[in-house]
Amino acid sequence: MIELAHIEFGYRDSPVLRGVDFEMKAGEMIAIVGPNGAGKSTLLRIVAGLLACSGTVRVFGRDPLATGRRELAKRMAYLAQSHKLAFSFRAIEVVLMGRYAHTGKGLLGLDSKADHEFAMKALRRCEIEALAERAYNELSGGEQRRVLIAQALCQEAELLLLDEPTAGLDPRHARDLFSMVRGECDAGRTALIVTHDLNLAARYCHKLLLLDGGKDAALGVPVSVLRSSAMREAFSIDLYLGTLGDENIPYVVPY
Amino acid sequence: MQASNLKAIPLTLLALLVAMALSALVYGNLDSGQAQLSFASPSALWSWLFDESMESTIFWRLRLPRILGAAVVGAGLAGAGCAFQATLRNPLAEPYTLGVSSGSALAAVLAIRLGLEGTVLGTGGIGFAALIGALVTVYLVWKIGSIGHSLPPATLLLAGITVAMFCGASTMVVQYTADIGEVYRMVRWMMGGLDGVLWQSLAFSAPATGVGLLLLLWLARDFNALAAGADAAASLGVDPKRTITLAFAASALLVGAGIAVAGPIGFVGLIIPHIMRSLVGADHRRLLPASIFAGGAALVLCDMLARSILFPAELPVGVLTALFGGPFFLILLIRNRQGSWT
Repeated sequence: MIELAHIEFGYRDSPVLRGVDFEMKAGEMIAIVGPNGAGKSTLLRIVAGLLACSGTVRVFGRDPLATGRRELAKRMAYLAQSHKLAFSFRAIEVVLMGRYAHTGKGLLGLDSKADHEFAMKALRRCEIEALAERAYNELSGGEQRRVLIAQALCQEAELLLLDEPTAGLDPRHARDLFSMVRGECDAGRTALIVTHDLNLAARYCHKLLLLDGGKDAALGVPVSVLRSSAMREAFSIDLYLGTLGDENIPYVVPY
Repeated sequence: MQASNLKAIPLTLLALLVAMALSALVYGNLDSGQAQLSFASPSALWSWLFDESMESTIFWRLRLPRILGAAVVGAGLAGAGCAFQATLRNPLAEPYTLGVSSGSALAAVLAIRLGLEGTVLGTGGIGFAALIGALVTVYLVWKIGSIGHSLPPATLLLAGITVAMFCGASTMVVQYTADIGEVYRMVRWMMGGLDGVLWQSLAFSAPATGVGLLLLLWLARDFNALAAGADAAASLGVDPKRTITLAFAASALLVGAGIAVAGPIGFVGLIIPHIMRSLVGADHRRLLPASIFAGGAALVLCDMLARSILFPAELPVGVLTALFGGPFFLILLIRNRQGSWT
Protein backbone atom coordinates (compact mmCIF):
# COMPACT_ATOMS: atom_id res chain seq x y z
CA MET A 1 0.00 0.00 0.00
CA ILE A 2 2.86 2.40 0.82
CA GLU A 3 6.30 2.12 -0.77
CA LEU A 4 9.00 4.65 0.01
CA ALA A 5 12.52 4.40 -1.44
CA HIS A 6 15.50 6.70 -0.78
CA ILE A 7 13.34 9.50 0.54
CA GLU A 8 15.30 12.69 1.07
CA PHE A 9 13.88 16.02 2.12
CA GLY A 10 15.24 19.22 3.63
CA TYR A 11 14.53 22.88 4.22
CA ARG A 12 17.21 24.96 2.49
CA ASP A 13 20.47 23.87 4.16
CA SER A 14 19.00 21.70 6.90
CA PRO A 15 18.20 18.15 5.81
CA VAL A 16 15.23 16.50 7.58
CA LEU A 17 15.09 13.07 5.90
CA ARG A 18 18.30 11.50 4.58
CA GLY A 19 17.33 8.38 2.72
CA VAL A 20 14.32 6.58 4.22
CA ASP A 21 13.16 3.23 2.85
CA PHE A 22 9.87 1.85 4.07
CA GLU A 23 7.09 -0.44 2.94
CA MET A 24 3.67 -1.10 4.39
CA LYS A 25 0.97 -3.59 3.47
CA ALA A 26 -2.79 -3.18 3.62
CA GLY A 27 -4.28 -4.05 7.00
CA GLU A 28 -1.17 -3.10 8.95
CA MET A 29 -1.03 -0.65 11.83
CA ILE A 30 2.42 0.86 12.13
CA ALA A 31 3.63 3.56 14.50
CA ILE A 32 6.42 5.94 13.53
CA VAL A 33 8.44 6.66 16.65
CA GLY A 34 11.60 8.63 17.25
CA PRO A 35 13.01 11.65 19.05
CA ASN A 36 11.82 15.19 18.36
CA GLY A 37 13.08 16.46 15.02
CA ALA A 38 13.66 12.95 13.62
CA GLY A 39 11.43 13.72 10.63
CA LYS A 40 8.33 11.74 11.67
CA SER A 41 5.69 14.32 10.75
CA THR A 42 7.58 15.23 7.58
CA LEU A 43 7.53 11.59 6.48
CA LEU A 44 3.79 11.39 7.15
CA ARG A 45 3.17 14.56 5.12
CA ILE A 46 5.18 13.11 2.24
CA VAL A 47 3.01 9.98 2.29
CA ALA A 48 -0.09 12.24 2.38
CA GLY A 49 1.12 13.96 -0.82
CA LEU A 50 1.54 17.30 0.92
CA LEU A 51 5.29 17.67 0.44
CA ALA A 52 7.50 17.10 -2.57
CA CYS A 53 10.73 15.17 -1.90
CA SER A 54 13.42 13.32 -3.77
CA GLY A 55 13.20 9.53 -3.94
CA THR A 56 10.24 7.34 -4.86
CA VAL A 57 6.86 7.62 -3.16
CA ARG A 58 4.09 5.19 -4.04
CA VAL A 59 0.76 5.15 -2.23
CA PHE A 60 -1.84 2.77 -3.68
CA GLY A 61 0.78 2.19 -6.40
CA ARG A 62 0.85 5.84 -7.50
CA ASP A 63 2.71 9.04 -6.71
CA PRO A 64 0.36 10.89 -4.33
CA LEU A 65 1.56 14.28 -5.62
CA ALA A 66 0.45 13.31 -9.12
CA THR A 67 -2.96 12.04 -7.96
CA GLY A 68 -6.01 14.31 -7.73
CA ARG A 69 -6.78 15.48 -4.19
CA ARG A 70 -10.38 14.34 -4.37
CA GLU A 71 -9.40 10.90 -5.60
CA LEU A 72 -6.80 10.61 -2.81
CA ALA A 73 -9.23 11.81 -0.14
CA LYS A 74 -11.64 9.00 -0.98
CA ARG A 75 -8.96 6.49 0.01
CA MET A 76 -6.73 8.33 2.48
CA ALA A 77 -7.41 10.49 5.53
CA TYR A 78 -4.67 12.62 7.07
CA LEU A 79 -4.92 14.12 10.52
CA ALA A 80 -2.42 16.92 11.16
CA GLN A 81 -0.64 17.57 14.43
CA SER A 82 -2.41 20.87 14.97
CA HIS A 83 -5.84 21.66 13.63
CA LYS A 84 -7.17 25.13 14.36
CA LEU A 85 -10.29 26.36 12.60
CA ALA A 86 -10.37 29.99 11.49
CA PHE A 87 -14.12 30.17 12.10
CA SER A 88 -16.49 28.68 14.62
CA PHE A 89 -17.94 25.57 12.99
CA ARG A 90 -20.08 23.11 14.94
CA ALA A 91 -18.58 19.67 15.63
CA ILE A 92 -21.08 17.96 13.32
CA GLU A 93 -20.11 20.36 10.51
CA VAL A 94 -16.44 19.46 11.01
CA VAL A 95 -17.24 15.73 10.88
CA LEU A 96 -19.37 16.22 7.76
CA MET A 97 -16.38 17.74 5.97
CA GLY A 98 -15.13 14.15 5.80
CA ARG A 99 -17.86 13.50 3.21
CA TYR A 100 -16.78 16.25 0.80
CA ALA A 101 -14.69 13.94 -1.37
CA HIS A 102 -17.54 11.46 -1.71
CA THR A 103 -20.60 13.55 -2.40
CA GLY A 104 -21.36 15.28 -5.66
CA LYS A 105 -20.79 18.98 -5.86
CA GLY A 106 -23.79 20.98 -6.96
CA LEU A 107 -23.89 24.75 -6.77
CA LEU A 108 -23.66 24.82 -2.97
CA GLY A 109 -22.57 21.19 -2.47
CA LEU A 110 -25.16 20.38 0.17
CA ASP A 111 -24.85 17.24 2.32
CA SER A 112 -27.26 14.39 1.75
CA LYS A 113 -29.23 12.49 4.34
CA ALA A 114 -26.81 9.60 3.89
CA ASP A 115 -23.91 11.96 4.69
CA HIS A 116 -25.60 12.87 7.95
CA GLU A 117 -26.05 9.22 8.81
CA PHE A 118 -22.36 8.61 8.15
CA ALA A 119 -21.45 11.54 10.38
CA MET A 120 -23.70 10.42 13.23
CA LYS A 121 -22.29 6.90 13.02
CA ALA A 122 -18.75 8.26 13.20
CA LEU A 123 -19.68 10.46 16.18
CA ARG A 124 -21.15 7.44 17.98
CA ARG A 125 -18.07 5.36 17.18
CA CYS A 126 -15.95 8.03 18.88
CA GLU A 127 -18.50 8.43 21.72
CA ILE A 128 -19.04 12.12 21.07
CA GLU A 129 -22.66 12.34 19.87
CA ALA A 130 -23.30 14.75 22.74
CA LEU A 131 -20.80 17.20 21.25
CA ALA A 132 -22.41 17.27 17.80
CA GLU A 133 -23.96 20.74 18.12
CA ARG A 134 -21.15 22.30 20.17
CA ALA A 135 -18.75 24.82 18.62
CA TYR A 136 -15.55 22.99 17.65
CA ASN A 137 -13.31 25.85 18.82
CA GLU A 138 -14.85 25.72 22.31
CA LEU A 139 -14.14 22.01 22.82
CA SER A 140 -11.17 20.78 24.86
CA GLY A 141 -8.07 19.64 22.98
CA GLY A 142 -8.95 16.01 23.59
CA GLU A 143 -12.53 16.45 22.40
CA GLN A 144 -11.30 18.22 19.26
CA ARG A 145 -9.02 15.26 18.51
CA ARG A 146 -11.95 12.88 18.78
CA VAL A 147 -14.04 15.06 16.46
CA LEU A 148 -11.21 14.88 13.92
CA ILE A 149 -10.95 11.11 14.28
CA ALA A 150 -14.70 10.98 13.61
CA GLN A 151 -14.08 13.13 10.51
CA ALA A 152 -11.43 10.68 9.31
CA LEU A 153 -13.82 7.74 9.87
CA CYS A 154 -16.56 9.65 8.06
CA GLN A 155 -14.15 9.96 5.15
CA GLU A 156 -14.30 6.13 4.84
CA ALA A 157 -10.61 6.06 3.96
CA GLU A 158 -8.73 2.76 3.63
CA LEU A 159 -5.56 4.44 4.82
CA LEU A 160 -5.43 6.55 7.98
CA LEU A 161 -2.41 8.82 8.46
CA LEU A 162 -2.53 10.14 12.01
CA ASP A 163 -0.01 12.65 13.39
CA GLU A 164 0.06 12.38 17.18
CA PRO A 165 -3.63 11.53 17.48
CA THR A 166 -3.39 11.06 21.25
CA ALA A 167 -1.82 14.45 21.98
CA GLY A 168 -4.03 16.05 24.61
CA LEU A 169 -6.07 12.90 25.30
CA ASP A 170 -6.38 11.46 28.80
CA PRO A 171 -5.14 7.87 29.29
CA ARG A 172 -8.56 6.28 28.81
CA HIS A 173 -9.36 8.14 25.60
CA ALA A 174 -5.82 7.61 24.30
CA ARG A 175 -6.16 3.86 24.88
CA ASP A 176 -9.64 3.81 23.36
CA LEU A 177 -8.37 5.63 20.29
CA PHE A 178 -5.55 3.16 19.66
CA SER A 179 -7.90 0.27 20.34
CA MET A 180 -10.45 1.71 17.91
CA VAL A 181 -7.84 2.23 15.19
CA ARG A 182 -6.62 -1.33 15.76
CA GLY A 183 -10.20 -2.52 15.37
CA GLU A 184 -10.46 -0.62 12.09
CA CYS A 185 -7.21 -2.23 10.90
CA ASP A 186 -8.44 -5.68 11.88
CA ALA A 187 -11.49 -4.91 9.75
CA GLY A 188 -9.30 -4.09 6.74
CA ARG A 189 -8.10 -0.51 7.08
CA THR A 190 -4.46 0.51 7.30
CA ALA A 191 -3.02 3.04 9.73
CA LEU A 192 0.30 4.86 9.91
CA ILE A 193 0.56 6.78 13.17
CA VAL A 194 3.17 9.22 14.43
CA THR A 195 3.25 8.95 18.20
CA HIS A 196 5.38 9.49 21.28
CA ASP A 197 3.29 7.02 23.28
CA LEU A 198 5.55 3.96 23.15
CA ASN A 199 3.29 1.92 25.42
CA LEU A 200 0.18 2.27 23.31
CA ALA A 201 2.24 1.80 20.14
CA ALA A 202 3.77 -1.37 21.59
CA ARG A 203 0.41 -2.72 22.67
CA TYR A 204 -1.70 -2.05 19.59
CA CYS A 205 0.57 -1.67 16.55
CA HIS A 206 1.79 -4.52 14.37
CA LYS A 207 5.12 -2.82 13.85
CA LEU A 208 7.17 0.19 14.87
CA LEU A 209 9.24 2.29 12.47
CA LEU A 210 12.02 4.06 14.35
CA LEU A 211 13.29 7.24 12.73
CA ASP A 212 16.54 8.74 13.96
CA GLY A 213 18.37 11.66 12.39
CA GLY A 214 16.24 11.47 9.27
CA LYS A 215 16.90 7.76 8.63
CA ASP A 216 14.92 4.58 9.21
CA ALA A 217 16.91 3.21 12.14
CA ALA A 218 14.72 0.16 12.80
CA LEU A 219 11.52 -1.49 11.59
CA GLY A 220 9.91 -4.55 13.10
CA VAL A 221 7.51 -5.93 15.68
CA PRO A 222 7.28 -3.56 18.65
CA VAL A 223 9.15 -5.66 21.18
CA SER A 224 12.17 -6.18 18.93
CA VAL A 225 12.39 -2.49 18.00
CA LEU A 226 12.03 -1.41 21.62
CA ARG A 227 14.81 -3.82 22.63
CA SER A 228 17.14 -2.76 19.83
CA SER A 229 20.31 -0.79 20.40
CA ALA A 230 19.05 1.68 17.74
CA MET A 231 16.24 2.61 20.13
CA ARG A 232 18.65 3.37 22.98
CA GLU A 233 20.87 5.38 20.68
CA ALA A 234 17.97 7.31 19.17
CA PHE A 235 16.58 8.46 22.52
CA SER A 236 19.92 8.44 24.40
CA ILE A 237 18.11 6.61 27.16
CA ASP A 238 17.74 3.08 28.52
CA LEU A 239 14.31 1.48 28.30
CA TYR A 240 13.02 -1.17 30.66
CA LEU A 241 10.72 -3.51 28.79
CA GLY A 242 8.26 -5.66 30.72
CA THR A 243 5.05 -7.57 30.11
CA LEU A 244 1.68 -7.41 31.81
CA GLY A 245 -0.79 -10.18 32.65
CA ASP A 246 -1.51 -13.40 30.84
CA GLU A 247 -1.70 -11.64 27.48
CA ASN A 248 1.92 -10.53 27.79
CA ILE A 249 1.07 -6.92 26.98
CA PRO A 250 4.41 -5.14 26.56
CA TYR A 251 5.17 -1.96 28.47
CA VAL A 252 8.14 0.38 28.47
CA VAL A 253 9.62 2.46 31.25
CA PRO A 254 12.48 4.83 30.48
CA TYR A 255 15.13 4.98 33.16
CA MET B 1 -25.84 21.33 5.81
CA GLN B 2 -28.51 19.10 4.40
CA ALA B 3 -31.20 20.26 2.02
CA SER B 4 -33.99 18.50 3.88
CA ASN B 5 -32.57 19.35 7.28
CA LEU B 6 -34.77 21.30 9.66
CA LYS B 7 -31.91 23.73 10.09
CA ALA B 8 -32.40 24.79 6.51
CA ILE B 9 -35.66 26.46 7.57
CA PRO B 10 -34.07 29.41 9.40
CA LEU B 11 -31.84 29.84 6.38
CA THR B 12 -34.77 29.95 3.99
CA LEU B 13 -36.55 32.37 6.31
CA LEU B 14 -33.53 34.56 6.52
CA ALA B 15 -33.06 34.61 2.77
CA LEU B 16 -36.74 35.44 2.39
CA LEU B 17 -36.52 38.14 5.02
CA VAL B 18 -33.51 39.72 3.43
CA ALA B 19 -35.05 39.44 -0.03
CA MET B 20 -38.19 41.12 1.30
CA ALA B 21 -36.16 43.80 3.02
CA LEU B 22 -34.44 44.34 -0.27
CA SER B 23 -37.72 44.70 -2.13
CA ALA B 24 -39.17 46.94 0.58
CA LEU B 25 -36.14 49.13 0.48
CA VAL B 26 -36.31 49.38 -3.27
CA TYR B 27 -39.95 50.40 -2.89
CA GLY B 28 -39.40 52.87 -0.06
CA ASN B 29 -36.34 54.30 -1.72
CA LEU B 30 -38.34 55.71 -4.58
CA ASP B 31 -39.89 58.60 -2.72
CA SER B 32 -36.73 59.87 -1.16
CA GLY B 33 -33.98 61.87 -2.74
CA GLN B 34 -33.87 65.05 -4.68
CA ALA B 35 -36.93 64.45 -6.86
CA GLN B 36 -40.04 63.78 -4.81
CA LEU B 37 -41.75 60.72 -6.19
CA SER B 38 -44.89 60.30 -4.13
CA PHE B 39 -46.82 57.16 -3.30
CA ALA B 40 -49.65 59.25 -1.88
CA SER B 41 -52.28 58.19 -4.40
CA PRO B 42 -52.58 55.33 -6.90
CA SER B 43 -53.08 57.79 -9.72
CA ALA B 44 -49.85 59.61 -8.87
CA LEU B 45 -48.08 56.25 -8.78
CA TRP B 46 -49.52 55.39 -12.19
CA SER B 47 -48.51 58.72 -13.60
CA TRP B 48 -44.84 58.57 -12.63
CA LEU B 49 -44.57 54.92 -13.60
CA PHE B 50 -46.16 55.11 -17.03
CA ASP B 51 -46.78 58.71 -18.11
CA GLU B 52 -44.35 60.85 -19.99
CA SER B 53 -43.47 62.99 -17.03
CA MET B 54 -40.26 64.20 -15.43
CA GLU B 55 -40.91 61.89 -12.46
CA SER B 56 -41.31 58.94 -14.77
CA THR B 57 -38.02 59.74 -16.50
CA ILE B 58 -36.27 60.10 -13.16
CA PHE B 59 -37.72 56.80 -11.94
CA TRP B 60 -36.90 54.72 -15.01
CA ARG B 61 -33.67 56.35 -16.12
CA LEU B 62 -32.00 57.23 -12.80
CA ARG B 63 -33.65 55.85 -9.69
CA LEU B 64 -34.24 52.24 -10.71
CA PRO B 65 -30.76 51.58 -12.14
CA ARG B 66 -29.27 53.32 -9.11
CA ILE B 67 -31.16 51.10 -6.63
CA LEU B 68 -30.41 47.98 -8.61
CA GLY B 69 -26.81 49.14 -8.83
CA ALA B 70 -26.67 49.50 -5.03
CA ALA B 71 -28.05 45.97 -4.62
CA VAL B 72 -25.59 44.52 -7.15
CA VAL B 73 -22.54 46.33 -5.75
CA GLY B 74 -23.48 45.55 -2.13
CA ALA B 75 -24.07 41.87 -2.90
CA GLY B 76 -20.77 41.65 -4.79
CA LEU B 77 -18.75 43.36 -2.06
CA ALA B 78 -20.24 41.22 0.72
CA GLY B 79 -19.67 38.04 -1.31
CA ALA B 80 -16.08 39.02 -2.06
CA GLY B 81 -15.50 39.93 1.60
CA CYS B 82 -16.77 36.51 2.64
CA ALA B 83 -14.47 34.83 0.11
CA PHE B 84 -11.39 36.81 1.20
CA GLN B 85 -12.06 36.01 4.86
CA ALA B 86 -12.39 32.30 4.00
CA THR B 87 -9.34 32.03 1.76
CA LEU B 88 -7.04 34.17 3.93
CA ARG B 89 -8.44 32.45 7.06
CA ASN B 90 -8.71 35.86 8.60
CA PRO B 91 -11.94 37.40 9.89
CA LEU B 92 -10.45 40.87 9.39
CA ALA B 93 -9.94 40.42 5.67
CA GLU B 94 -12.23 42.39 3.35
CA PRO B 95 -12.53 43.03 -0.39
CA TYR B 96 -9.83 45.69 -0.27
CA THR B 97 -7.38 43.78 1.94
CA LEU B 98 -5.17 42.73 -0.93
CA GLY B 99 -4.69 46.29 -2.10
CA VAL B 100 -7.54 46.13 -4.60
CA SER B 101 -8.91 49.58 -3.73
CA SER B 102 -5.46 51.19 -3.86
CA GLY B 103 -4.74 49.55 -7.21
CA SER B 104 -8.04 50.60 -8.71
CA ALA B 105 -7.72 54.11 -7.23
CA LEU B 106 -4.31 54.48 -8.88
CA ALA B 107 -5.76 53.39 -12.22
CA ALA B 108 -8.75 55.73 -11.84
CA VAL B 109 -6.57 58.67 -10.84
CA LEU B 110 -4.31 57.98 -13.83
CA ALA B 111 -7.35 57.88 -16.12
CA ILE B 112 -8.49 61.27 -14.80
CA ARG B 113 -4.97 62.72 -15.11
CA LEU B 114 -4.64 61.46 -18.68
CA GLY B 115 -8.10 62.70 -19.60
CA LEU B 116 -9.51 59.23 -20.38
CA GLU B 117 -12.97 60.05 -19.09
CA GLY B 118 -14.93 58.86 -22.11
CA THR B 119 -17.02 55.71 -22.28
CA VAL B 120 -15.68 52.16 -22.60
CA LEU B 121 -17.97 49.11 -22.78
CA GLY B 122 -20.93 51.12 -21.51
CA THR B 123 -19.13 52.23 -18.39
CA GLY B 124 -17.18 55.42 -17.81
CA GLY B 125 -13.50 55.47 -18.75
CA ILE B 126 -12.58 56.01 -15.09
CA GLY B 127 -14.69 53.03 -14.01
CA PHE B 128 -13.16 50.86 -16.70
CA ALA B 129 -9.65 51.89 -15.65
CA ALA B 130 -10.58 51.12 -12.03
CA LEU B 131 -11.77 47.65 -13.02
CA ILE B 132 -8.50 46.96 -14.85
CA GLY B 133 -6.60 48.32 -11.84
CA ALA B 134 -8.45 45.93 -9.52
CA LEU B 135 -7.82 42.90 -11.73
CA VAL B 136 -4.13 43.73 -12.22
CA THR B 137 -3.63 44.28 -8.48
CA VAL B 138 -5.18 40.95 -7.50
CA TYR B 139 -3.12 39.16 -10.15
CA LEU B 140 0.08 40.86 -8.93
CA VAL B 141 -0.59 39.99 -5.30
CA TRP B 142 -1.48 36.41 -6.26
CA LYS B 143 1.73 36.11 -8.27
CA ILE B 144 3.93 37.59 -5.52
CA GLY B 145 2.18 35.48 -2.84
CA SER B 146 2.54 32.17 -4.70
CA ILE B 147 5.23 29.96 -3.23
CA GLY B 148 5.55 26.78 -5.26
CA HIS B 149 2.27 24.88 -4.99
CA SER B 150 0.94 26.93 -2.12
CA LEU B 151 -0.49 30.37 -1.36
CA PRO B 152 0.26 31.01 2.33
CA PRO B 153 -2.23 33.57 3.76
CA ALA B 154 0.46 35.51 5.63
CA THR B 155 2.54 35.98 2.46
CA LEU B 156 -0.56 37.05 0.53
CA LEU B 157 -1.48 39.60 3.20
CA LEU B 158 2.04 41.03 3.24
CA ALA B 159 2.09 41.17 -0.56
CA GLY B 160 -1.31 42.95 -0.47
CA ILE B 161 -0.15 45.51 2.09
CA THR B 162 3.05 46.21 0.12
CA VAL B 163 1.22 46.63 -3.19
CA ALA B 164 -1.36 48.87 -1.47
CA MET B 165 1.36 51.12 -0.05
CA PHE B 166 3.10 51.36 -3.41
CA CYS B 167 -0.18 52.19 -5.19
CA GLY B 168 -1.07 54.74 -2.48
CA ALA B 169 2.26 56.53 -2.92
CA SER B 170 1.93 56.45 -6.72
CA THR B 171 -1.59 57.92 -6.44
CA MET B 172 -0.20 60.83 -4.43
CA VAL B 173 2.49 61.43 -7.05
CA VAL B 174 -0.18 61.55 -9.76
CA GLN B 175 -2.34 63.89 -7.66
CA TYR B 176 0.65 66.14 -7.01
CA THR B 177 1.09 66.64 -10.74
CA ALA B 178 -2.64 67.27 -11.38
CA ASP B 179 -4.48 70.59 -11.52
CA ILE B 180 -7.12 71.57 -8.95
CA GLY B 181 -10.08 70.45 -11.08
CA GLU B 182 -8.58 67.03 -11.64
CA VAL B 183 -7.68 66.68 -7.96
CA TYR B 184 -11.31 67.44 -7.03
CA ARG B 185 -12.60 64.76 -9.42
CA MET B 186 -10.02 62.30 -8.09
CA VAL B 187 -10.98 62.88 -4.45
CA ARG B 188 -14.68 62.76 -5.30
CA TRP B 189 -14.23 59.45 -7.12
CA MET B 190 -12.40 57.97 -4.13
CA MET B 191 -15.36 58.76 -1.86
CA GLY B 192 -17.50 56.30 -3.79
CA GLY B 193 -21.06 57.02 -4.88
CA LEU B 194 -23.98 55.52 -6.73
CA ASP B 195 -25.22 58.73 -8.33
CA GLY B 196 -23.61 57.90 -11.67
CA VAL B 197 -25.19 54.44 -12.06
CA LEU B 198 -27.12 54.20 -15.34
CA TRP B 199 -28.58 51.23 -17.22
CA GLN B 200 -25.46 51.10 -19.42
CA SER B 201 -23.11 50.64 -16.47
CA LEU B 202 -25.52 48.16 -14.86
CA ALA B 203 -25.63 46.14 -18.08
CA PHE B 204 -21.91 45.62 -17.63
CA SER B 205 -21.61 45.22 -13.86
CA ALA B 206 -24.67 43.03 -13.15
CA PRO B 207 -23.62 40.08 -15.38
CA ALA B 208 -20.01 40.32 -14.12
CA THR B 209 -21.29 40.28 -10.54
CA GLY B 210 -23.61 37.37 -11.33
CA VAL B 211 -20.76 35.29 -12.72
CA GLY B 212 -18.51 36.12 -9.76
CA LEU B 213 -21.19 35.27 -7.20
CA LEU B 214 -22.10 31.97 -8.88
CA LEU B 215 -18.44 30.98 -8.87
CA LEU B 216 -18.17 31.79 -5.15
CA LEU B 217 -21.33 29.81 -4.34
CA TRP B 218 -19.86 26.87 -6.23
CA LEU B 219 -16.74 27.15 -4.04
CA ALA B 220 -18.70 27.48 -0.76
CA ARG B 221 -18.01 23.93 0.40
CA ASP B 222 -14.30 24.24 -0.41
CA PHE B 223 -14.15 27.40 1.75
CA ASN B 224 -15.32 25.29 4.71
CA ALA B 225 -12.51 22.81 4.10
CA LEU B 226 -9.98 25.68 3.98
CA ALA B 227 -10.93 26.83 7.50
CA ALA B 228 -8.35 24.46 9.01
CA GLY B 229 -5.62 25.40 6.55
CA ALA B 230 -4.28 24.19 3.24
CA ASP B 231 -3.09 20.75 4.40
CA ALA B 232 -6.38 19.90 6.08
CA ALA B 233 -8.30 21.06 3.00
CA ALA B 234 -6.09 18.97 0.73
CA SER B 235 -6.63 15.88 2.86
CA LEU B 236 -10.40 16.43 2.56
CA GLY B 237 -10.12 16.35 -1.22
CA VAL B 238 -9.98 20.08 -1.91
CA ASP B 239 -7.14 21.55 -3.97
CA PRO B 240 -6.26 24.63 -1.89
CA LYS B 241 -4.35 26.54 -4.54
CA ARG B 242 -7.06 26.02 -7.15
CA THR B 243 -9.77 27.10 -4.69
CA ILE B 244 -7.87 30.23 -3.63
CA THR B 245 -7.03 31.13 -7.24
CA LEU B 246 -10.64 30.77 -8.39
CA ALA B 247 -11.88 32.70 -5.35
CA PHE B 248 -9.44 35.52 -6.09
CA ALA B 249 -10.51 35.63 -9.74
CA ALA B 250 -14.20 35.76 -8.75
CA SER B 251 -13.56 38.36 -6.05
CA ALA B 252 -11.46 40.54 -8.36
CA LEU B 253 -14.34 40.47 -10.84
CA LEU B 254 -16.87 41.37 -8.10
CA VAL B 255 -14.81 44.15 -6.58
CA GLY B 256 -13.74 45.44 -9.99
CA ALA B 257 -17.32 45.52 -11.27
CA GLY B 258 -18.40 47.30 -8.07
CA ILE B 259 -15.61 49.86 -8.18
CA ALA B 260 -16.21 50.48 -11.88
CA VAL B 261 -19.77 51.71 -11.26
CA ALA B 262 -19.62 53.08 -7.72
CA GLY B 263 -16.00 53.77 -6.79
CA PRO B 264 -14.48 52.23 -3.68
CA ILE B 265 -17.16 51.60 -1.04
CA GLY B 266 -15.71 50.40 2.24
CA PHE B 267 -16.90 48.37 5.22
CA VAL B 268 -19.82 46.55 3.51
CA GLY B 269 -17.51 43.65 2.58
CA LEU B 270 -16.02 43.54 6.07
CA ILE B 271 -19.04 43.92 8.31
CA ILE B 272 -21.84 42.07 6.49
CA PRO B 273 -20.08 38.65 6.57
CA HIS B 274 -19.40 39.21 10.30
CA ILE B 275 -23.02 39.95 11.14
CA MET B 276 -24.24 37.06 9.02
CA ARG B 277 -21.72 34.65 10.56
CA SER B 278 -23.12 35.42 14.01
CA LEU B 279 -26.66 34.80 12.66
CA VAL B 280 -26.31 31.73 10.44
CA GLY B 281 -23.00 30.19 11.55
CA ALA B 282 -19.69 29.60 9.81
CA ASP B 283 -20.80 27.13 7.11
CA HIS B 284 -20.18 29.01 3.88
CA ARG B 285 -23.07 27.25 2.18
CA ARG B 286 -25.35 29.32 4.43
CA LEU B 287 -23.03 32.25 5.08
CA LEU B 288 -22.35 33.19 1.46
CA PRO B 289 -25.98 33.40 0.26
CA ALA B 290 -26.96 35.21 3.48
CA SER B 291 -24.10 37.71 3.07
CA ILE B 292 -24.95 38.31 -0.58
CA PHE B 293 -28.59 39.14 0.23
CA ALA B 294 -27.71 41.22 3.27
CA GLY B 295 -24.92 43.08 1.43
CA GLY B 296 -27.34 44.10 -1.29
CA ALA B 297 -29.95 45.21 1.25
CA ALA B 298 -27.40 47.13 3.32
CA LEU B 299 -26.06 49.17 0.43
CA VAL B 300 -29.59 50.00 -0.80
CA LEU B 301 -30.34 51.24 2.73
CA CYS B 302 -27.11 53.23 2.97
CA ASP B 303 -27.72 54.78 -0.44
CA MET B 304 -31.23 55.80 0.62
CA LEU B 305 -29.80 57.44 3.74
CA ALA B 306 -27.01 59.06 1.73
CA ARG B 307 -29.68 60.76 -0.40
CA SER B 308 -31.89 61.72 2.53
CA ILE B 309 -29.64 62.91 5.35
CA LEU B 310 -28.46 66.17 3.77
CA PHE B 311 -31.48 66.57 1.47
CA PRO B 312 -31.50 68.23 -1.02
CA ALA B 313 -27.72 67.64 -1.12
CA GLU B 314 -26.31 64.12 -1.36
CA LEU B 315 -23.64 62.48 0.75
CA PRO B 316 -21.31 60.09 -1.12
CA VAL B 317 -22.45 56.60 -0.05
CA GLY B 318 -18.85 55.46 0.52
CA VAL B 319 -18.48 58.15 3.17
CA LEU B 320 -21.69 57.00 4.83
CA THR B 321 -20.75 53.29 4.91
CA ALA B 322 -17.43 54.24 6.50
CA LEU B 323 -19.11 56.61 8.98
CA PHE B 324 -21.58 53.91 10.07
CA GLY B 325 -19.21 51.02 9.56
CA GLY B 326 -16.38 52.30 11.75
CA PRO B 327 -18.34 52.63 15.02
CA PHE B 328 -20.36 49.52 14.23
CA PHE B 329 -17.19 47.52 13.81
CA LEU B 330 -15.88 48.88 17.12
CA ILE B 331 -19.07 47.71 18.85
CA LEU B 332 -18.56 44.25 17.37
CA LEU B 333 -14.94 44.32 18.51
CA ILE B 334 -15.82 45.28 22.08
CA ARG B 335 -18.64 42.72 22.26
CA ASN B 336 -16.31 40.00 21.02
CA ARG B 337 -13.38 41.01 23.21
CA GLN B 338 -14.15 38.38 25.80
CA GLY B 339 -14.85 35.60 23.37
CA SER B 340 -13.55 34.40 20.08
CA TRP B 341 -13.51 36.79 17.14
CA THR B 342 -15.21 34.26 14.98
